[in-house]
Amino acid sequence: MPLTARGEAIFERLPNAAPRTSTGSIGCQIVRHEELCIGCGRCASACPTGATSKGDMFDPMQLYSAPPESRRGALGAALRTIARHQPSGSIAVPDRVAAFRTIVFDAARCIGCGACARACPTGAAEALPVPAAEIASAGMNG
Amino acid sequence: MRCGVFLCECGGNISGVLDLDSLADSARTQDGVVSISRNQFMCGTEGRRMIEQAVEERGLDRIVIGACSRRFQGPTFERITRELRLGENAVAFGNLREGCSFIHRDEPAKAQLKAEKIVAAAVARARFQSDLPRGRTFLHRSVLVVGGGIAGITAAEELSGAGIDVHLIEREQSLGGYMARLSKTFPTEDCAMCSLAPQLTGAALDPRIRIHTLTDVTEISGPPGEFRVKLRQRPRFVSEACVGCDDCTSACPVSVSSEFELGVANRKAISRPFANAVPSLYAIDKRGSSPCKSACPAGTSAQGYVALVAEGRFDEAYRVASELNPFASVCGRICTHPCESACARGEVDQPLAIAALKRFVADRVGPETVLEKVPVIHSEKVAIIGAGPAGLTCARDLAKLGYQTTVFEALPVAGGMLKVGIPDYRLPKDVLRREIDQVTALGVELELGQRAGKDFTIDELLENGYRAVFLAVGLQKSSEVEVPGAELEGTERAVEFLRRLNLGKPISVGDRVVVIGGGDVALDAARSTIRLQRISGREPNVTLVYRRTREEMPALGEDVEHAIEEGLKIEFLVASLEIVGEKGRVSALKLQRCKLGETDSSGRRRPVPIEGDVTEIEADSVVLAIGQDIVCDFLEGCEDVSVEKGQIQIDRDTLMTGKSAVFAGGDAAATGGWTAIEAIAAGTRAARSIHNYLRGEKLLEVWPAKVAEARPSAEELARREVGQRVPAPLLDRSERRGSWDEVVGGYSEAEAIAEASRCLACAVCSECEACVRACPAGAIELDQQEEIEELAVGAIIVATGHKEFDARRKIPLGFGRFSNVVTQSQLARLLAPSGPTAGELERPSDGTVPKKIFMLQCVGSRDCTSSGNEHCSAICCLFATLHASLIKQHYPDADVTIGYTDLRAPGKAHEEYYRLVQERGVRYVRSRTGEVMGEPDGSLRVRFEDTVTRRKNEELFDLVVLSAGLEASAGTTEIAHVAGLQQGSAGFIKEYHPKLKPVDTQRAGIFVAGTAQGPKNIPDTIAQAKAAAARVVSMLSAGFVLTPAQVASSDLAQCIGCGICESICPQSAVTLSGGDSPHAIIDANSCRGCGICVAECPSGAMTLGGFSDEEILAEVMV
Amino acid sequence: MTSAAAENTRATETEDGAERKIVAFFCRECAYAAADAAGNARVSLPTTIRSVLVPCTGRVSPLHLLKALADGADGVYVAGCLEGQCHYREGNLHALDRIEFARALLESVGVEPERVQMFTMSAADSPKFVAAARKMHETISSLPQLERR
Repeated sequence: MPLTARGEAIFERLPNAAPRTSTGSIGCQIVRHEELCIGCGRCASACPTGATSKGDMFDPMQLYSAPPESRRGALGAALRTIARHQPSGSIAVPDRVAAFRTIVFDAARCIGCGACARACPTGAAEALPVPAAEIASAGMNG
Repeated sequence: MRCGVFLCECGGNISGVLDLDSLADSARTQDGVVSISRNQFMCGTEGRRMIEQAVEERGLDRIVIGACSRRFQGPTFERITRELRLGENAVAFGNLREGCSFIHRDEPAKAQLKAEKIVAAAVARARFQSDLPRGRTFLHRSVLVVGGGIAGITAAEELSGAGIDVHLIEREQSLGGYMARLSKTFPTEDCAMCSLAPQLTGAALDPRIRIHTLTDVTEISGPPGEFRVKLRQRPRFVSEACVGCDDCTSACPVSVSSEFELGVANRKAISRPFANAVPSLYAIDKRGSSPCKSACPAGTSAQGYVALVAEGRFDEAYRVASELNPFASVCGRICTHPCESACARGEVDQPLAIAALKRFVADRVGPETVLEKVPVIHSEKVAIIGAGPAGLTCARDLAKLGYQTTVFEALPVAGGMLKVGIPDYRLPKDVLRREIDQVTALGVELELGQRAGKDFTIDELLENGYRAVFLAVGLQKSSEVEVPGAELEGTERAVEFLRRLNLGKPISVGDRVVVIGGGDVALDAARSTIRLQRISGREPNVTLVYRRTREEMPALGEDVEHAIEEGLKIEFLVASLEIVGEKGRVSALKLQRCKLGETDSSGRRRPVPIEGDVTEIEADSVVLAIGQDIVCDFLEGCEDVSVEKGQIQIDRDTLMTGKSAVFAGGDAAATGGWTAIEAIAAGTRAARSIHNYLRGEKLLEVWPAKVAEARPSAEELARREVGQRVPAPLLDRSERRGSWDEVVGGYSEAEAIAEASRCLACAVCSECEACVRACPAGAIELDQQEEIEELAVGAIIVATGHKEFDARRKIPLGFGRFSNVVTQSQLARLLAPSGPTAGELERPSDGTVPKKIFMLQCVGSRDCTSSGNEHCSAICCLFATLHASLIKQHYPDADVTIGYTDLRAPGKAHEEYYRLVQERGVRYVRSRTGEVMGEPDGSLRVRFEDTVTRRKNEELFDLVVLSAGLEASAGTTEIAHVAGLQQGSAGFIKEYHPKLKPVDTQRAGIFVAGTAQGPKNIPDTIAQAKAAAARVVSMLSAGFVLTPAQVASSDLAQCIGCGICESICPQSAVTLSGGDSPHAIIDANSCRGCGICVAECPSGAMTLGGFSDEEILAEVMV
Repeated sequence: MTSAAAENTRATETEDGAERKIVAFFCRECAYAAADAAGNARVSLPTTIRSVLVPCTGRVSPLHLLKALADGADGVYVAGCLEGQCHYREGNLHALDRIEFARALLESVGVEPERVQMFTMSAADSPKFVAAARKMHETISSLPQLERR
């Protein structure tokens, strides 16, 4: 996937911006907490590089781990009541179902800009600072 | 919650199966239930009183009705609770009849248990039901009616009668629509225009109806009641001053097929479709700039003078051709004519010979035309350096603006390169002289033999009273390219060679001459040498060597051809390595053979040497014609004007050099190519810029604004008959070689008219301005611009009508191929007393009255193939019957046959009419037609199968009329997109409900009438228009509308602004607010309450009035 | 007992003899209208079905479907307009996808996906409505009662 205009702009500002490692050439490490995710997709729209995207699959375990007062939590509680066993892996999501999707995070594409974390309304995407030394070795120059 | 439960017996329908006492006992145990009542008919007045009483006495805030389906009596009870000020969402329903007693009569015990659950569920649901806020939308008392046909006019009139303001929008130049084109109408055979004209006049005079013609609706937004509408009005180019005298149409030289006459007659570029048009103003059909005009650097309207030539109006043509170009007859000969390269006719066969036509009018009219001298009105004098095309054009234009100018020319003659660069056989000297004389006749002073930098300096000019200087010095020397041996005797440089020749200086040429180069200068040097050799009694021997191939040669193709005819030898793909000498004299030219390589920056393929392939040509003279260069001596004693890469540096927008008051243009400061026409254009631009500079104000555009180019579509071009350019006469080739006479001759009058008639009139209006001169009222305004207007209206009626099915799609029927195959609508024009034949039926091919006529029904209708439509077009049977009857009455001998599928004549008096016409002798044959074939005499052979007798027939007819069906018009499709309306089959607008809401659309506040909704006849159209108007009146009379209760709403605190709702709402009722923390905004007027967004909302912020998750789940859980 | 009702009962006798419960979401424009038409025609229908009115099947979310099962229903179905004839253009298409999603969820936790179904019909087509109701009733009656934790 080519970079978006915004992504290009970010790379422009970086000297010798070549590697796009998960630790992020800009300075954040992205940590995702899928149990908090509600599938709104704001992170995916905000991501300039396509590292975060709305996938075509959904892991029903996310319903079990979601906060009980959330919509996913309520659905999880109903599912748990009638379940005969633990969910057996991810399921394919039909086109028109918007929010029950597991976010796909491609660490190799992440530049650590933190846009997803700023966009996330629930704290499911979190941006942690990376020590300066690590940034340098991660590729400011190479 | 204080809930009352009201159980209905429904006259035994419910109580006959269910035990209501036991049901009441069960309901009483429900939490929150404080009162139980039952009645025989809860929906009756007694039931209502019961509810009122219970609410008052028991202080109820929720009502549960156990009765029939909510779909039946829901609104009754909602109204009761609304009137009791509990809100309409204070009532919950248990469906005890359709949902229980009716369907479980055989299992009463189970039914009883289910009924208890049903009531319990309703009570549980009621607990969560809360009042629903409703907004008010105030209604604008104005309506947009789109489409000015009979439907739109009728609706507008009706609305105006109700005191409502109407904006009536029509995309054409006049109201009237399809009905204006009809001759008579069925079944009464009364004249269509006689019924329509009073309506048109009424609309025009109605103070409440504002008519917007030539107008498109480009945007509709906002809620019903306060729609915001954007209109785009295309320019009419004729003002309200038009008195309708029709003088302009006889002046206009451009004829095109008339849309109003449906192609059976032509109209002019300025026209009025019919005498009763409203508004009565004429309009000019100007579609932009013709390709020829766009391509001309000087912006000459070639289409304009070509159109005038075609009409034999040569004086006017010359005026157009010379208005922007003082060198019309010169350009008619030597112009590189980019106009011809752009000519759309070139896609059909060959481009028009535009230059030859220009030469024709200039030669014929030019010499006698003496321009009127303009008095000098400005005191500032302007000096122009160089009397070439740029300098002289600038001088003329400044003179016309009222300036005194002096042109300083270094040579003893004026004309620049036109004079000393181009030999006589291409441009006779007297042709040029006449045009220069016309410039000087305007009062332009010409100082010959005055060389800038030597005889005077530019700074001196500015000091001595000249307030501006235009440098148009040209490129006066050959490029000094490094060819070894260039110093040898016998080497010539082409520019200098031609100058000496044209100044009449003594000149000698060798016996074997080689010219190096591929441009006009090289060719002129070579052809001149041929002539000089011949005149001095030798056999011409000239070879031209060029690095690339003929395709890449910059010289014009026809000139190359002429040169070869004259005996010029050309060697392609050879680069000059060295001029070989013997005793200081040229003896040969050493050449490197090349092949074509990659494309270079000029867009041509670069020559690449073939290693080791070197050859020699013997020669005693070599002429170098590889480019020209500037001679900078004119800058002596002048500061601040800089020359780089052989070009004077200027500001492109103003043509001013680095020195204030000094401008430059032409070959010495080119902004386009180095051609005569570019130089002329530069002269004009310089004059405008100097005028702006001297007046201190931007009065004239230096560079004309870009106008969209008008070019016929590929489809239109494909329909044109392939022809051929009229060739210009040529001097015999043997005569040519020893003579300086002009090689290419001019057109005769007949040839010029024939050639000019090939013009396709791409832009329709050619901007020749003949109408401007003809109009006695001064109403023509060619500079009118498109206007955008915004309106607020309460409601919209779409009455955009239909179009006739394009019968060309039915290829075997021959429409478009045989001129005597017409459509029923075209026949209407041929039968109309106001039509092109004044009501006489004349067949298109030869104007004779057809004796045998075949009318073919269901063309493109009731057709399940991919080239037709499935629907019945409803009017065609009677339309054909009407026309057959009219023909029969007018020409009793005529034999009219109608080939029909099924004869459909429902509607008042239609069947009777059909019988009457049958009695008049019209033959009806139930048949299927296979093919229509053309005969050499224009008659048509029709092959059809009689579907009653099953017999196959073949008959000859003089005229075939196709009853082409109805489809949605382009305007209907456009408004459907703009307004977001659904279209059904064949593009007709889908009504909200085919029976109950036939004039409502899917979008509240937008109504539909007439054939935009589906095929129908005039009375039905008018009835529907009045119905639509009535719907608008009933909507607007309320003054305001409540927004619906059952709409989506979003909790601002919970909304996370993900935009899922915005992307999935099928009504586009949700938008996301801007800013850093966006949130969903629901347009309550557009929301129709489906709840799709609620189900998809990931945060739970979205809910639906009356159908929240709590309400739904309460019912599920019990 | 009429023969039609007998038909209902015989075809749907459960193995354990206990009657099943089915929750049905009907859209107001088509399915509920077809249900009313069937009722007015006094067609005999299984008593297991409990209808819930929704404006459009597009309003029904996966939560409604699963919550119905969790709260006591053995089966749940949605009935809406024919494809392409949704009164809100696309609601039934959304419903179809959500039902597919809910079925996939059930399958992933070992519950029979046929407990959740979708039917489409026009407002005039009460026979299709009746057939759908009986079909659903038969299907659910052939399955064991749904166990809950």
